[in-house]
Amino acid sequence: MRLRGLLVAIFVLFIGGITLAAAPVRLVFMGRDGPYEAAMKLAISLYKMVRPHVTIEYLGLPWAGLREKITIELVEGRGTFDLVILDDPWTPEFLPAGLLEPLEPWFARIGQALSPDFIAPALALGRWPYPDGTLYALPIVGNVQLFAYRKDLFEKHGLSHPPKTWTEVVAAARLIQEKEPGVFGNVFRGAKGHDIVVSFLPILWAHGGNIIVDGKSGVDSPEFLAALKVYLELARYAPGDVGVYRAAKLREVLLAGKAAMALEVWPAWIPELDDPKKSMVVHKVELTTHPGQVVTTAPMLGIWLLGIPATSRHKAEAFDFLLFVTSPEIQKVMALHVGNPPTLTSLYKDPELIARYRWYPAQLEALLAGVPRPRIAVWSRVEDILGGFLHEALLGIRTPEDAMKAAHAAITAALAE
Amino acid sequence: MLPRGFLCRGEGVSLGSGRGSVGIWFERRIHLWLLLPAALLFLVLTVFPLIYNGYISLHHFAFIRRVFRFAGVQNYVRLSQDGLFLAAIANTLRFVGLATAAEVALGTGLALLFNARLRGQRVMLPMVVLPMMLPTMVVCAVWVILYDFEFGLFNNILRSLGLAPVQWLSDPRIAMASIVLVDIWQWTPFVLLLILAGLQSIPDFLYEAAQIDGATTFQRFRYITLPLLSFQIKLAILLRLIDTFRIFDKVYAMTGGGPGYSTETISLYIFREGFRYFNLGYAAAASVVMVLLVLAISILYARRMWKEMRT
Repeated sequence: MRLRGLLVAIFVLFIGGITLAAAPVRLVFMGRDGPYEAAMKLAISLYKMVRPHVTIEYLGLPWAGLREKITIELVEGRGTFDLVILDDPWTPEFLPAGLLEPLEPWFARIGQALSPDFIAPALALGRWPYPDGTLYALPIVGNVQLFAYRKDLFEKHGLSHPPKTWTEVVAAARLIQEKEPGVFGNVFRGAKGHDIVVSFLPILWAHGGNIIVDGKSGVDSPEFLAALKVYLELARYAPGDVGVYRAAKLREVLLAGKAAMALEVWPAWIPELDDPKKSMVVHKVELTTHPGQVVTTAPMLGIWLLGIPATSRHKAEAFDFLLFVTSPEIQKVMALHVGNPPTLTSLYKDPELIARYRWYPAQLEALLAGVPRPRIAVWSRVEDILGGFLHEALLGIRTPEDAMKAAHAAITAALAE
Repeated sequence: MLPRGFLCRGEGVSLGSGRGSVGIWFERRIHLWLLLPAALLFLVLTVFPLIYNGYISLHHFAFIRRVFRFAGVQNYVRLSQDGLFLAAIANTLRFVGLATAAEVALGTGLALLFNARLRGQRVMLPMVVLPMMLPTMVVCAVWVILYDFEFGLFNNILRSLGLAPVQWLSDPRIAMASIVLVDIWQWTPFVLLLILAGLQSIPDFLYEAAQIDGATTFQRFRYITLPLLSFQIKLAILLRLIDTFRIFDKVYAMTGGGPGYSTETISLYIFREGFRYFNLGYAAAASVVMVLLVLAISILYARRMWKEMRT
């Protein structure tokens, strides 16, 4: 897509938008670092061309630092920031506390309706009460888990693909590990805490289990136990130290061609898959939606949302940027140039984008079937509890039954606080 | 330049003309006035936060929900019943004991080696001291690669010797020792410098006299070096003890408290309660317990040191 043509389109699109005072304005935007920062900075540079009087200062932080800073900033309400990026599990903490600006009145003010093109499960995460309450934030990064497998190895060993159930995944992992020296049956993120929970959730959900059921712990259930046993079975066909694997290590093993399957990959990790300079498995890895079991595919959503702090001093300008950065034109540029996964349905059907990212149809399917993490305010604590006991089960410190019961007791106590 | 006798009581300068009572009062308390800025800083930056932390620890303080209500000793009762917190205390004490003992022993040994004025020590000393100057996160990143199960240096050496590779960071029986090893690598040079300074302050004539009297190398070490170094060694123990008690960064970067909860430490526990869950009252109570533990150990040890010095 030619950048100049795009800019003309943006100009036409936005020149008739909100009438803003032309006095110089400085917005402060607190967001993520890494690829997200590259995407946001690209959008900011384009925005500067249509709104030259608005300067946006971007502060990119790692996940933990961002959460700390956003929490302190929003609660203390100093009005230092005008735009904030939020990971979707944070919204049940921040939105009920009224820390973000409701967006519907701003849409009404400019007489514009919310685009129906937003992927519904992603958009719902910015509402409180979830899923159809007041809108406080718009989805800006369409992250969702995908399942990765080596098509060449599946075909070589006569395995049907993609695997439809987790039982088939276990069988394939066992067979390939036996027949292919130097290749692990599968790989996943097994590090304590967030990593292990995220890799376990699609298996749990596919087995019909849930962490929270009607506001109570749903961990003590036959579905949870069945899912945990499948997970531990898969660990037998994974690298020996999978218990310390985080994203970087998983990606390294996958790109080195040392694993037949990855239980979860994220769109931001995979643009290198077909790059011969970085990958040993160019065009050999297929990306698809997760296998089901009792329930059909149930990948985890990992949406990043963009909102305006209730204490911002430049809400009109911040809202204008919010519209700009979530527009199809800008989302397409961010996807093409820095690989930022869009949050609009139409872009996953765009031929230019599909030619660049062959997994986009599967990604859209995953986004539409995606399951969010429980919408509870104490998810951080629950995730740590679950992540600790799952890790103990993975390392054989506890039996699956013991780990499940201990996690259930601890989560019940956490929810009661 | 100060007037002559400025610091001598009753003879110094006075305010205004003549030696009025205000001048004498000021002069007699000059040492207090000189201490005042430091004391103020200490009050504002150390004493006040400690007192305020103690105050918060008696409250239920949920930062995000803006809940702040008096809870008495509930947070402390909950801490005493929290298995994870008790495990964190045990892990921290284990780390403190192992790391401090190893660092002081190794640091002393290295200092003796460097004090022997061997060849090439001018080149070696900066290299040995280098780990101490590196940022801890860099140190952790390097050691995580060294510990890697598949591609790490240590396991490659073990494999080349025909031995089974070790899960340095994912085996609950080994993970803590692996982190201790990183701390030893980074902080032994600190002990080395401290002890080396002590060694170089021992006058040579003591050794020469002992040698004339027929003392062996071991006897010179046992009866001259060790007694004269005892203060530096004890100081090194105290400083490393206080520092290792705060262990956070290495655990956070290398294991996150895992495998399971085998490397969970008090600092990590407090960090999680305070900055992940924003449960500030409970985190404050855990901090008070940690401060009391460090204070108790340090005061007991420092008092003993002080007593020995005076006798």
